Amino acid sequence: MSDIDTYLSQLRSHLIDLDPERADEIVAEARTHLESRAAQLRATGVGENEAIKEALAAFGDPPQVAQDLVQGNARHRRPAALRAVGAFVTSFGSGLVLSFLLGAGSALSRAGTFALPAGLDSESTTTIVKWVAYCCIALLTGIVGGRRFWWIAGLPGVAMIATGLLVLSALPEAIRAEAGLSPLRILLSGALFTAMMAGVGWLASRLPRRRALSTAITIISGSVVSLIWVGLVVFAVAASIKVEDGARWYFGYLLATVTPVIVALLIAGHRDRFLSREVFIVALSGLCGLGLACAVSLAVWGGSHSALRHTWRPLAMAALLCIAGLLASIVYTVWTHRTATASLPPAESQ
Amino acid sequence: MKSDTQLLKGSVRLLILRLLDREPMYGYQMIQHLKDRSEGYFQLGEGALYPLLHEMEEHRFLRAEWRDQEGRPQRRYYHLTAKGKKELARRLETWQGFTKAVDLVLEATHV
Repeated sequence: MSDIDTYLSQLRSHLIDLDPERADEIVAEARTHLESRAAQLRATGVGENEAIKEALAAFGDPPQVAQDLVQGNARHRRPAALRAVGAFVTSFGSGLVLSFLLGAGSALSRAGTFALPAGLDSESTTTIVKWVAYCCIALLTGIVGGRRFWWIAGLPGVAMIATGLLVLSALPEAIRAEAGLSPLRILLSGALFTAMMAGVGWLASRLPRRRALSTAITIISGSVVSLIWVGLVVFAVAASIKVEDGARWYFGYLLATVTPVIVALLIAGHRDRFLSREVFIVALSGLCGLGLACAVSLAVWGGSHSALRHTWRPLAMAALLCIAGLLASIVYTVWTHRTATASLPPAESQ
Repeated sequence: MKSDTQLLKGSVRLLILRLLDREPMYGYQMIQHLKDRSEGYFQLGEGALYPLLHEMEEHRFLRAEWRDQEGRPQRRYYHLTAKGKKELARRLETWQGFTKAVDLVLEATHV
């Protein structure tokens, strides 16, 4: 891949707030310009590589150029607030419809028997399957409804809320009262998490351009935010109920949150071709933080309670999911990078 | 002599409209024309041109179309619209008024 391809790939990745068709058109126009410039320089005796480097330098830094381009194409920009509201409305609407449909029949409960080896009874299995399906629908509708904002804030937020509702529906009434759980509280906690992740996204967009440093800071801050949220909201409540129920909660939590995030990353990679680096890192850091939080909590709780004799299973599962997430991120990055390059307009021969 | 960045920023839309009033052009061609006609004085940042063009396109001062080139890939040409002609006339009037006022002050000060 030439330097021009690399440059245009970077430029395109920063145009994610624009309609894809418009972004592709802009990239095609930039390619024409860069190759014209390089050809002109070559005609004056400048070497091949130097001509391209000079043309790229004259065009400017991709993030800055892209920022100006996004501002100059206001009518092609997707309004973030509208996207967010649309994504939430469609995802929650779909979730409500789906849960109603699943509640009306028991056929899908049989599909959830895969969870029985983990010690869950059939009632819990039905509930988990219902809410995992809810999450998948919510994720899919969110992917259709919005992109950048959804990935920074909407996706983890909805997954968290869905997980909280999963736990709520699985708990006996007495425990709900004891733990002080209510749908409103879960919605508020999900909104809090959404706001915190949006803060991480904001931080990521303002970090210095040194890749290693900004990546490290974003991953650490995203993981810390996830840990804080999980620690304060989920485990604080779980500590007030029986450990066995906490284990169920945890297992459903993994299924409902971590797995769909990995799947959705790959789906979005296919649909959007690539996400901006910051958004991707935020999603990845959230995933790592959640996996870490689950592993730590089980290490603390599981070792001191005989009821969790299968502790090694969920621990291993958490570790596997984290590894799978990291592997998926590598595959995703390589794959989308190639796809993005392949989607660029053909090179111009002067 | 190098151009003043602030002065260039303030006048570049007028210059673009004026260039396109004569003939449709593509982005790189505009940069070359600006540079050549000003004898190298106006050297617009190349990546900065397209946001301006797109912004003026969104305001319907310009219209763009991809044109086939013989034996070469397409280029995106920009045309001045009727609304763009009016905008050019308005900016020219503003510019001429401004330069006239500046000249008057400079001449008065010089005397």
